Amino acid sequence: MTFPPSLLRLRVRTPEHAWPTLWLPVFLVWPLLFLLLVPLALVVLPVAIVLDPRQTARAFELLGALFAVVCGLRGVHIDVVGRRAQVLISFH
Amino acid sequence: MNEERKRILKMLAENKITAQEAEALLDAMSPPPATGATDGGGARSADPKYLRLVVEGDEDKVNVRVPFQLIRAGMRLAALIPATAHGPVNKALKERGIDIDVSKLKPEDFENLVQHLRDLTVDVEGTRGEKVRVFCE
Repeated sequence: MTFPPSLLRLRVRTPEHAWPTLWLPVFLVWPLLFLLLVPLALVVLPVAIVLDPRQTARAFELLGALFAVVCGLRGVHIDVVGRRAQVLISFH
Repeated sequence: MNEERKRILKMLAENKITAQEAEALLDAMSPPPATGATDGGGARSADPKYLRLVVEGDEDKVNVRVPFQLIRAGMRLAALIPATAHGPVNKALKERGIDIDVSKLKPEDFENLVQHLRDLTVDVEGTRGEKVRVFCE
């Protein structure tokens, strides 16, 4: 079982500016998103089942795949150092 | 506990053999640790977890690590693309130099590919000293 990333490390540096490395607490977003999705699902789901049950099942598959993509972000590390700037994006 | 082990311990209890001899006998009975590691968890841990891309130039450096889990999830997502969208997606990919038929991509094929990628290393060195490495870890 894997979980969505909990922290996002972001660093942007240019010759002019050296911003500090940001550790963004992404884990705070997930409960909020969950709280938003639950009431939305309660409204959308009955309507979708009545209108097209087959496509509703497909929508669930899509949601599962999207969740897997979000979980897969954990461990992504992109570090680019150029002449003009340095960018680091890392999910933990 | 198997019979041989019981017999060795019984011989030790009856003072027929010393503790060192019993230890040597028990060691001789047990399989070597290296064999156990490669048969079980070792093989699993050898599976690559990340696809790495490292580019080193004069002043530019790129270091990218992509978890295979993300690629697998992307494949799962790609499998949900409606059949009607395959044509435009294939066309758009071909325009960018990627000649792949999306409808033929299957997660099982990708699993086989990942298994064979384990020992693959692409190492390219340019004329100006730039290096590109693609490997799994």
